[in-house]
Amino acid sequence: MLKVRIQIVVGQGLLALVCVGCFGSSDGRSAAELQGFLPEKSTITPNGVDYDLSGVTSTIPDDSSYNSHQSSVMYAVRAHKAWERQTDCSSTRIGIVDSGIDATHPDFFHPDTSSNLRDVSGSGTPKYGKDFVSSSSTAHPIDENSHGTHVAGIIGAAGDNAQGISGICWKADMLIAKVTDEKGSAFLSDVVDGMDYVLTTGARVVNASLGSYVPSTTESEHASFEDVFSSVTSKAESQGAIIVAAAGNSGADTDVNRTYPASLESSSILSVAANLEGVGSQLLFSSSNYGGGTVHLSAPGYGIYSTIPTVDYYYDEQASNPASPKNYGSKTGTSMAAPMVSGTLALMWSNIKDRSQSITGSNLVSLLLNNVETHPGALGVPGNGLITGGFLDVGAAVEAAKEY
Amino acid sequence: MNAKQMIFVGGAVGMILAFIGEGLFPKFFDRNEPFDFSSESSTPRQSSDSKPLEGSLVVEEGNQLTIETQDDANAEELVDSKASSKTLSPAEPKLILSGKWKESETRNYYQEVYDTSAKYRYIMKQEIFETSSLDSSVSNSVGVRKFVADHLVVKVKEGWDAERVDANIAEFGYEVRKKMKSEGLYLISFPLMTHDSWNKAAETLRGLDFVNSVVPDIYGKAF
Repeated sequence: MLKVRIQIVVGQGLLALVCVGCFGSSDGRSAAELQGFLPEKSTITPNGVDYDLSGVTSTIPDDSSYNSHQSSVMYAVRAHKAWERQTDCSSTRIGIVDSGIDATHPDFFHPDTSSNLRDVSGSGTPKYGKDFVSSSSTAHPIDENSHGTHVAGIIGAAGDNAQGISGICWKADMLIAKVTDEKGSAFLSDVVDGMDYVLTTGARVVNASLGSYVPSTTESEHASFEDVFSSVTSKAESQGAIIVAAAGNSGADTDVNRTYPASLESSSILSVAANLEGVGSQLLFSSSNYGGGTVHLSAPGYGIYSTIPTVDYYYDEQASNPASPKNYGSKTGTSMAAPMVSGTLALMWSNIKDRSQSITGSNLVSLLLNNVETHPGALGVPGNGLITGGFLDVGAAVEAAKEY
Repeated sequence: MNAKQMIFVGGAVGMILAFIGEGLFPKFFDRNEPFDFSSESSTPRQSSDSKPLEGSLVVEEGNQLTIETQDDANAEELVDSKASSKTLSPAEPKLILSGKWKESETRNYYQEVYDTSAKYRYIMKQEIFETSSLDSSVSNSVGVRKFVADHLVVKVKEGWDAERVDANIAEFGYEVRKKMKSEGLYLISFPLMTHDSWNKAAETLRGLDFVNSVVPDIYGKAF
């Protein structure tokens, strides 16, 4: 683990980054090298908004690609600030409803061989969840698409294990429900079943980076979809769980064109749009859905670097970017924004000062939404196109949870 | 008559209707305007044809609908024993039925059913056209929905188990395809006869007093 104290000096519209004190460096990196952790892009403020990050003491993982591929985004959402408080989410189970997982990927394991994936096999060959796509009830949730493995890496790639990347959670307890096929498509019925499964198996946070797009939804149709999902949302509410759903990539207003589960009105649902990066580049990604009455917040979802399956097929996918090491790659969409929020909620659960308190999922959601970064018009959509009008601030949210 | 026979007969009737339909509604049967199956939403189109269209049907030449099933002796209750085997379905989606359905004066649906390699092989691709209140002569495409063409997601009232539901829908030729994990949710299948079989089944099911809600099993995607 590497700790660096950073001070930002503001003057004449220019920002300069100065490493005023570096300590705890276990690998001998110099102060000059450490400045690379703070990309200049993340401090440019086109909307005239300055961010006072002076005096922030950050905790930075030693993962090999962190500096080159992740630091910009993590710094933008102030993950470093959160990591001063909490890096371990393993006390909070996270259900991931997606295309499955490459459970052989080395970046889900720590040097002591402990895993960030939940083994539900009981004994014998590890099994990290359930496959709802296959006709066989015993199938492993193997990722044939890469989407699920990428999402899982954003939430919980092992942090500070000296390889690859770090998830929002350095240590995690992730349970997988495979509901999308090799093409990344899913039936609504499997999504409902998958969400029910991870909730029944104890998930406090459910990530759903997928959805059923129902354009031009009528009110009666919407009521029926609400009813079909009601068992799942009621279960989530009763056990204090939160379902984080991607808003979708149609560039549409989801107040009119609903996407399920993101458009459900349950207090257990959080709908997430994608912005380009965060601090300094807050515009919504052009294909991101939005909705002043239906989408809660945005998080970075453009060019997000994370884990992809280790088989050769996926290596070819990255051939256009030879600098990109095998087993990792970038993806764009609200699918990548939602897991940033899921990871944050797991950090928040894990950082609650007095865990004996009966904190509900709604309490936690309020803390998260009350601590978003808000800048009028910053997202480039009237009213910012979001319920909160703001984007994810991991640091502020985790800090708020500590005081709960 | 079993489901296989019914569908075959439906196909024969469909070919006749297709001949009639092509003469009446040439725009919608223009195969030079491909319907992209892979996209979430199509490029908005305009229809100058504001006349209400009755249901019509197309079955491609040489096509015979058959429903392949796969039994899994080890399957637990939640596993759909009638999910299609991927190896028995075509690698590329194949159009098997199409037509138009009019919901109201302002909303029409152009519908195509594809035989696919997906878990549930018959997928409806439905494009919605809405008529502007300012110019009723032009219908604009407002989006595309995709969902399973031969079953619906149904929520029933508390206390109705699969056996009881099955017994009460058999008279319509419907059956419980799968009991879902969530309480009261079932996939209910029906014979795929025409492009709007799903709509007729939905209307029938909504009329049953033990049914709370009916929605299509939307074929969604990762974002």
